[in-house]
Amino acid sequence: MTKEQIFELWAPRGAAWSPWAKPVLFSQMDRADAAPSTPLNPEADLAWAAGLQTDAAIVVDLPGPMGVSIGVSLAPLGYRPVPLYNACPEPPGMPSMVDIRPIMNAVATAAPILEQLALHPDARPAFLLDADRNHARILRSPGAFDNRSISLPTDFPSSSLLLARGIQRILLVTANPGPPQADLSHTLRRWQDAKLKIQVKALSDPALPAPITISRPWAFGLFWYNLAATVRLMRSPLGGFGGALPMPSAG
Amino acid sequence: MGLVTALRPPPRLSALPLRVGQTLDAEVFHEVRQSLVLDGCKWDPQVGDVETISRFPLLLSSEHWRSISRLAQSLATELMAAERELLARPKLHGTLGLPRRIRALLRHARCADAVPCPARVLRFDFHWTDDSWCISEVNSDVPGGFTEASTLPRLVAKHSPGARPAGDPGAIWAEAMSKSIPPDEPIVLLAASGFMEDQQVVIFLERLLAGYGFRTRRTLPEHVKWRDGVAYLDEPVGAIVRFYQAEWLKASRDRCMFVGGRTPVANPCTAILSESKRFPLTWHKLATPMPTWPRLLPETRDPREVDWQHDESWLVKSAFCNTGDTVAMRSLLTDRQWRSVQRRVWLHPRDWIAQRRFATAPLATDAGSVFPCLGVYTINGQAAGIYGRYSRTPLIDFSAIDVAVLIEDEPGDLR
Repeated sequence: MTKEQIFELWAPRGAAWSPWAKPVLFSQMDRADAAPSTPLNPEADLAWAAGLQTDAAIVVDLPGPMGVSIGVSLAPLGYRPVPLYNACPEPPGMPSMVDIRPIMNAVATAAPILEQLALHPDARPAFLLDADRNHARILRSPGAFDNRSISLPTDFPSSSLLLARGIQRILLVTANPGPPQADLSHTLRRWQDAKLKIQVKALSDPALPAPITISRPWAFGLFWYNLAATVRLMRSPLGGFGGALPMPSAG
Repeated sequence: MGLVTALRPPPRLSALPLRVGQTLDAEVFHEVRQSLVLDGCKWDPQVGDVETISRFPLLLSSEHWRSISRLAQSLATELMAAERELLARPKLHGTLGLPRRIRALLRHARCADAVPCPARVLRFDFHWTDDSWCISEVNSDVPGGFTEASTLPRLVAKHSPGARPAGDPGAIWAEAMSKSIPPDEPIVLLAASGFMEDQQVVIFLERLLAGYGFRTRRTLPEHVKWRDGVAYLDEPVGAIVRFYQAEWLKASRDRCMFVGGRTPVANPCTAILSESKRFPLTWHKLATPMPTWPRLLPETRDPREVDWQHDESWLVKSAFCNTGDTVAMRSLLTDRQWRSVQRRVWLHPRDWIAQRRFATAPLATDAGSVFPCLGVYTINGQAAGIYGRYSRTPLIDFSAIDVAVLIEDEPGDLR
């Protein structure tokens, strides 16, 4: 398959949530990346999802290709996986701080499955994030490629749009119990403030999805949050650029 | 980025040099969008609930395109001459609000120390007011918007009979690079890797360079080593493409990208001299004639010289305001935000400017009035294309919608 065909299957024309699919990974797929190679986990236990009500959207925050695997497994239940992966793979010859290639391979592997499923254009969304997006797997060192990223509220539809489309509740799927990641909390808290009900399901915990209250995260609601969050990323002790990076260079 | 307010009565829309072109049908728009995001590296086509790619083009008359092309070229000529003079006049660098470490680095610079630049890119943000063009600023250091000014108009023009792109800045830039860089040495592209807005630009440029057979390597400034003014990675570097703001660089480590380096850099870091929004504060001290700039740029003053806090005909913005984020107009801010701006300007007045507001003529569309901004590129002094954006508020910033600006053919034009 070409990258165009793969992107079309993940973000088909006319599907309600396609505009939010991030094109970053797809744009950088070369022939090798676009070839299915990573087997998806077919054994995912989705008993917890079977009982979800029809007014729920899902945010899958799982590491690496696991998010793709779960996202595709949710598709037969009526959810359209919406990839929000927003990191570049490393240039040739450079080790990357976040391993994106397995996700790219999983995305390519899953494309034919999505084609067979022929989801309804109005299928509810399951937004897919890499839980390792801001976790460096290697130390920052000369020659390393820092491709950590964060999730921003503007990556998602607003609460008013979700409500207008009949979404009343959000299920956050994580690998382990615990509070949501700080960056994602900004989005979840906005939704919570708009009276969307937030639930969480940790895959390592057999318990069914449970309601969760999202605490007010750092700098919540400040108009400069996107900017400040990115600055924080750059100043992370795990890496960064050693200086204040107040905003993107693009003028 | 530009700003505009409705301080004056709305102009007659018929006077506008721009008009709205035909809306693309859904099928065509989908193809344009997919091509733009996958091949043109436009990775932010959706921000929250907002689709950031316009479904219709803006059509500009040939006459007006010729007019703003000439103006942009004059602005570019004056700017580049002023930059050369400023490089050798360090006493003016404090006026520009340059960071202290960069002022120290440039203290003993001479014109002869200028770093070679194979393709100097500038982008001037033009706005149509009641009866004339004005500019809100120049993006002199790391102007973005290449794919929006190159790929988007090309794709949309295919479906807009009687109209053509104003140019193709990406292609012109790559050709200029190819004419002066040896093909056997790699071109290094610098960008902050966590910023997708910047990554998408350098990957687009990388693809253009690959079209000329160049080897490219993306990396960070800290990985570039310098010996006798020549850049190395593990081999000599043919040229550096810098999409990394000059004020972020370390003066000690990256000195050769500012002055004294022999490896070409596009754009050279001395672009910071004219990138400063305080650049106009130096004009009256320059020997370089600047006849075009004062005609087009609204009056610009040190914030300590004018009553911007009470007079709403002024706005303030920071000296290094790259995406419009720090443009502050009282009427567009909450009380809390305004107090924050007041405090910041009071604490660091040399990092800000006050500028007269002007009224961009709104353009009526099916989706309501919009405020257009035409970013005219010059490459090595020649007009090269237009990065079109519009906003639904008077402020053009990072959340503005990208629009293909096409030039309407005149009778007798050959496409």
